[in-house]
Amino acid sequence: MSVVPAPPVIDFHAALARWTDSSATLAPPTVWLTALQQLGVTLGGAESLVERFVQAWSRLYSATLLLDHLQDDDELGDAWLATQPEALQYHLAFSAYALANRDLAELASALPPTRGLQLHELWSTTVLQMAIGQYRDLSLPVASLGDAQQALDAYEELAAQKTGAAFALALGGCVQVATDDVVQIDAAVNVGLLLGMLLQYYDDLLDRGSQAAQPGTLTLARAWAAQLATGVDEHSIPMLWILIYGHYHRGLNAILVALPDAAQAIIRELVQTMFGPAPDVPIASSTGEAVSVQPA
Amino acid sequence: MDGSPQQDAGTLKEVAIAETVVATPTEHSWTRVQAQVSRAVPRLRAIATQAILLGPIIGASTDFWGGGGSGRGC
Repeated sequence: MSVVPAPPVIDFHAALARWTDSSATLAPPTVWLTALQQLGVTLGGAESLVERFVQAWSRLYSATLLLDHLQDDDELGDAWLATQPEALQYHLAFSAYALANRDLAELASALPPTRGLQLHELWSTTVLQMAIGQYRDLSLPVASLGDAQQALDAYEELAAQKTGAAFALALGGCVQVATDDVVQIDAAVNVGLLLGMLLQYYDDLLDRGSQAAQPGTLTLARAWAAQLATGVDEHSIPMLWILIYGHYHRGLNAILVALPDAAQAIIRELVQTMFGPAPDVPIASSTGEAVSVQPA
Repeated sequence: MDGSPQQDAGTLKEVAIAETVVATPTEHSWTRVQAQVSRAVPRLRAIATQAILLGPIIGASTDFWGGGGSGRGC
């Protein structure tokens, strides 16, 4: 009689490392983390402290991604994680957040007291927004949104609260670790918010083929379709993205001037890596006159 | 203060509002961030309207997904 071997028991930290380490599917791409590290160090942050923040944020982001995947019933992308009981999968998401919170506490205690407190406040503010955004995403029936303006406004707010808040924390936190300069911290938080919103739009438009399985989820294409009596024509999606990217790129550039040149260059490079070159398309000004968006 | 029920109710409401403001400072600072950013970019619905107007005139290339497509938004 053959005996089926019991699956190996994996230590708590090893279990977390499986899906949160830099090469894991649910970890933020290394190129993002490298840019965040460079940003903090360029502005005068101690390398070890900036690295600690980047690690905390990366774990927080992994926890959020896992939670989002579980709640949307998406593929987890890791064979070991996918075979675990659902209760344990949810527990691992919470555990990654607990570890991130521990990273943050250790980091904050190594910073000047006021800076540490402000970093805590930025963290709690943005994490709360992420929680509210996810709650609204899960609880807001698409059919209840009424007219098109409501649908697009609601979607825009969700993008700000979800990925927008996550990136406001990423960039703002790196700068907060490095400096007490409120103007620079504000600029980094604001740039991060726009960058995160762009990522939400971009991923949502790219993923629209797989969204049929989630008919109740508010997506950009669905919100836009509510504005068009004829529904969304696939050929019009590129124009929507190009205009969004053009406007947001212009907004990013306007906010970035508050940061030193070297920091601006790091963020511009990150934007280009994430979304490609900025489009050069005519965009109507507020007066209705066509103006050109300059490439980066 | 005359101790009337109406005045007591008004006082209690003021106290409740003050406690709410103190208890939720993070909400207020997030509102400030959103207000700053909203001045930098148009509303999404305004951009969507432009896309409807400009789409048929300009068209768009098919290679517009310039980035890597992270699939890691949340």
